[in-house]
Amino acid sequence: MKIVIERSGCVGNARCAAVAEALFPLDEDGYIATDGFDVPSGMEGLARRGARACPERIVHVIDESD
Amino acid sequence: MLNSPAHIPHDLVVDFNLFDDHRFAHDLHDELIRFVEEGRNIFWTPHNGGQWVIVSHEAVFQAARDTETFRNSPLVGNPDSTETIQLPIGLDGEAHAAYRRVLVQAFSPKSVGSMAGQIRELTVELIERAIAADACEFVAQVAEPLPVLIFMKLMGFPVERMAEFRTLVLAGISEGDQTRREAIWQQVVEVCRPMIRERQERRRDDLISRLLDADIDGRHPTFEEMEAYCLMLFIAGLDTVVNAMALTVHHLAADTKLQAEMRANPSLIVKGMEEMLRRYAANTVPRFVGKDATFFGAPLRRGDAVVLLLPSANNDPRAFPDPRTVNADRSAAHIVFNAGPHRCVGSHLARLEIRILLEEWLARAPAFRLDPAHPWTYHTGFVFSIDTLHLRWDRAVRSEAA
Repeated sequence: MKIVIERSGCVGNARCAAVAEALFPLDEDGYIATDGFDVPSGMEGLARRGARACPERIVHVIDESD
Repeated sequence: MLNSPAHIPHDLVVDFNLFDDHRFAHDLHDELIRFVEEGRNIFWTPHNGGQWVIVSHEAVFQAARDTETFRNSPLVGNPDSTETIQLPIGLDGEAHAAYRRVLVQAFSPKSVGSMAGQIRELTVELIERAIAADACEFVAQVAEPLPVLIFMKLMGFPVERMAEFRTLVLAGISEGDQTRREAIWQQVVEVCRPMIRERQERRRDDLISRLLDADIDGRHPTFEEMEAYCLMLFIAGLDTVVNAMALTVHHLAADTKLQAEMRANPSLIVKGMEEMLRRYAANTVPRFVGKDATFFGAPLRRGDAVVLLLPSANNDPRAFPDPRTVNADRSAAHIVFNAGPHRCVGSHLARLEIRILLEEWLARAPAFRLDPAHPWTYHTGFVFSIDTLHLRWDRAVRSEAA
């Protein structure tokens, strides 16, 4: 599973990090500091919840098993 | 009913007045939720000068992110206007981003996190005073002084003038008439002026001082820009969290089951708080149309006034099934702090303050309920304001818990 983030659309809600700080690192100002990542095994649920928490809908889950 | 401009289709006209307290007498949110339950996205009201009212979750989301069609910045300069444009929210695009940056830094999760100790200290102090008796008026004793004093200290406003400043803010946000409202905001600017001048002479450890030294594309803000910053911060900082706190605690006073669950299990507080923020969203967002467009079937004309109703958008059954039910297990993201580049810059401070309030209130106050002899009072406007919230409890409950 992959997370892909439209980073330029981040407005600093920081809701993804509120769900899973380790998966969704923020910069000094509270904006997302990654364009995406491979989800470590066992953290799929947390990654999904982090994506769903984004009010801007810019955090996308790419699930290869789909 | 008042007349509407020729380009407004009759079937999109609704007799709706956000400032008419009368129609909200039974419930603050009910009438707004009905608009989205009926499946509406947008309608026109001839009230408040005539404006489009955007109500659905999807339409508000799109409008908030499309800053070319739905603008904050003026279309043309009006040489007769003495109005102070609020910074940074009175601008769009790159100009907006340049002015916003300094506030993003001042209100980042990290910056506000460093205020947690100070917030908790004041929270405990206010709560202990409020629960010394068997009843309290929660707005005056806790919900108002807590976020307002924290914000006044942060800004560098003199805290002894809280009552005066609150009177000004409440008058402005409840004023539907634009000319009268602008006159009130001008008074706010006049109140801020000597404070800015004083910091120009000598910096202090406060936000006014930091703003004076802010980097706006390689230069510092002018005096007029400082006034514009202060006006926005005065309005935004001295009101909205008061209402969110009162609305949340009002819900918990009525929903004694959720109250007991959250008290027994404080790890439920964060999710419960988010859900109550969604259910009781209390802000509206003004915009105007920047270019002719068809939006969810509505023929927008450049210059039309627009208001985004966050209370209805966050209670839209198309995004939040069974929206009237407070369900802490909901996972869909709400847009109570709005969406897009104008997202409430104070959201991290607001969340921190409300979370600390709930943690300390639930830990310290006895099981509380609404006082049937004194129903809560509120009024509508750009922001829904809770005027009074009387709570009661039984002393015995607390000693048993202890």
